[in-house]
Amino acid sequence: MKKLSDCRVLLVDDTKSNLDILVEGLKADHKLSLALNGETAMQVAARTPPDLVLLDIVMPGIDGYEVCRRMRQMPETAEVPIMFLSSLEEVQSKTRGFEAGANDYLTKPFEMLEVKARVRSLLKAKAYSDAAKEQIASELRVAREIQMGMLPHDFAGMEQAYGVNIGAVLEPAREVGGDLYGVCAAGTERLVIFLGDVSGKGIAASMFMVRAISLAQLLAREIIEPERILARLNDELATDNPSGMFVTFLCAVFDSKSGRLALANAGHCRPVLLAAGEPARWAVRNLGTALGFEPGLEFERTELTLHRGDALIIYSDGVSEAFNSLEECYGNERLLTEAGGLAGQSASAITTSLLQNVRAFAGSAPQSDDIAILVLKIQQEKTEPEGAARSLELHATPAEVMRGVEALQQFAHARGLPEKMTFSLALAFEECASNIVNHALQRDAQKTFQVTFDLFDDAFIIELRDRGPAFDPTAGNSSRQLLDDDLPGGWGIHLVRRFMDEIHYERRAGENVLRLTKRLTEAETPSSSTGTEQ
Amino acid sequence: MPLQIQIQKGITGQETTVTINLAGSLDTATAPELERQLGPVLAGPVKDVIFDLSGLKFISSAGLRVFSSTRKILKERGGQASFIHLQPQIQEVFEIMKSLPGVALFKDVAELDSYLAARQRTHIQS
Repeated sequence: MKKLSDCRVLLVDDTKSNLDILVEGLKADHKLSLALNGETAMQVAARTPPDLVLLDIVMPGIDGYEVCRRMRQMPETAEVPIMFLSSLEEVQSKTRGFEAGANDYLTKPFEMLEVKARVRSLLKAKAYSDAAKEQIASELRVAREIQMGMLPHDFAGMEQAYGVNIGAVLEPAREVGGDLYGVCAAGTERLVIFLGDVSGKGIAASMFMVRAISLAQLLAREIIEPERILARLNDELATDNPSGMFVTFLCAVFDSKSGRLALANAGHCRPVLLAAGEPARWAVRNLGTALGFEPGLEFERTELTLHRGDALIIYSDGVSEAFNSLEECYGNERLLTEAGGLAGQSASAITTSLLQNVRAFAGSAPQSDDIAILVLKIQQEKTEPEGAARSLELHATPAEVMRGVEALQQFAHARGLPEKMTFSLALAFEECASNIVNHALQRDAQKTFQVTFDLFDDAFIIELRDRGPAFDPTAGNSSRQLLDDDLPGGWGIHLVRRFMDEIHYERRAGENVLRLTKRLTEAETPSSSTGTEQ
Repeated sequence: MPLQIQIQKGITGQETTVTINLAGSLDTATAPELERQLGPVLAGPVKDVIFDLSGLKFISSAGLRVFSSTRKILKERGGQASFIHLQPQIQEVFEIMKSLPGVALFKDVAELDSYLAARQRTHIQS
């Protein structure tokens, strides 16, 4: 708490002798600022905000009442105690002073002892209220950290496991808020995502939010159907809900094997579906009832199939009901249009772009509600488990190169790639891997290099990484031939170029990273894999 | 996939011709073995080597290198290396090699049949 001797008192009086008396009486106990008229007082207060203002009323220019009113408007002095010191003794003058926002009123002539006592009293009250505010603020900061900590942010593991791409953002309008979202790995093929919005804002909403998100995280792992997750969540929240709060909630369960998405809505804004090649549309038809009112409610289930590249955008009404300074609403139509324009982007890019779009729309208008956005996008890669990339570490010997070739052939065969394509991939891989073994790693069997095979919708990508000396095999007239030196001009790289569509070299973090891409035409793309790993 | 190498010496009167059957994969791991087995063959009076590739499923530049050096040695003796029964994917690699400037090795694949026929007539007549 601030010491009284550190407190600054602003003295405002147009009579210099009055100021002198006050200065003489207060200078030992406090820091002082002086002003001989209203305009100067406002400037001084803005420059060096005081902890207390002693204000004369009758002054040339703006009078004390007006100074008081203006100080109440100014953020720096809105809560600073103001005491009028005036020769106006009538009750009406005093009342007018308090109505202008003053905290105290003392008539002239005054006893210095009384002035000093009142100054101390006002400063103490101010210091107490400041300390209390600071404590609340610091507790809110911690509460915000805890609340934000309940929201998942790192989706890398789940993205790989379920073949999806996830983006999320949550921005409370105040320190803490009532919006929430969750992403739960509920089973090997079942991913549950949800987003909710508790009625109201601030601390009460945030506490109900914590209750809702904790329950939802448990129920999402326990229950398979989204409509039953909502029903159970509603029962839990509606029982023992003395404050009568409620939460709108949208829950979606994604089956990564079939691509089926089941949704259930409890009074929440309808999510947007971005299906490849189609205009943006609502993913569910009905709003349903919010959670928390009464137990025993049932919820409607909506099912749809997500294909690769499709995205689902779930958001809170801080997005659709954002207002600008003209009191215009962002609105559902604008949301559908803007979302439609983001179809080609990644989940996190859709999230960021949408948030930026809402902010740009709101302009200087303060954020009126919590904003939450959660995007689920189906990756372009194959989503079945065997579609996952295959990584190998190989030792620097020819036999190991061929072990890599066989792994590549099996990987391609299991995914139903044509023989011709598999041959091309194997040949390109063998050439590049041999090059690493023979040249970069000098056939030192202790050394290893890393290879990764990855099948996408439209391409097969082979990546090779070694820690040998920096060398770009794609550069022409290189000193290190890709192939044996006694053959004319690197046959290996010619073969790789002819069999692959792209060769990209990069020196990254002490590694040679070579990326070979083979584009797949429609006919070559394996729609369903019938083969199995051997 | 390993490489099977089967060397058939020419019949009497045609000791200068050797047929080598290759099956499996001729790659960075197996090419040295082919090179090793070719050593004694090329040390003899052989002039023509016919590589029968009907069982060869995979080839990389390491294998091509062995073919290239074999051809060089035979050419110095007025002989030739020939390749028959290429599977489509091997054929494609050969085609790519043919298209490269300065690579003479596989230009004669297409003319192999008539060449062989001519050689055999020569042997029979002599």
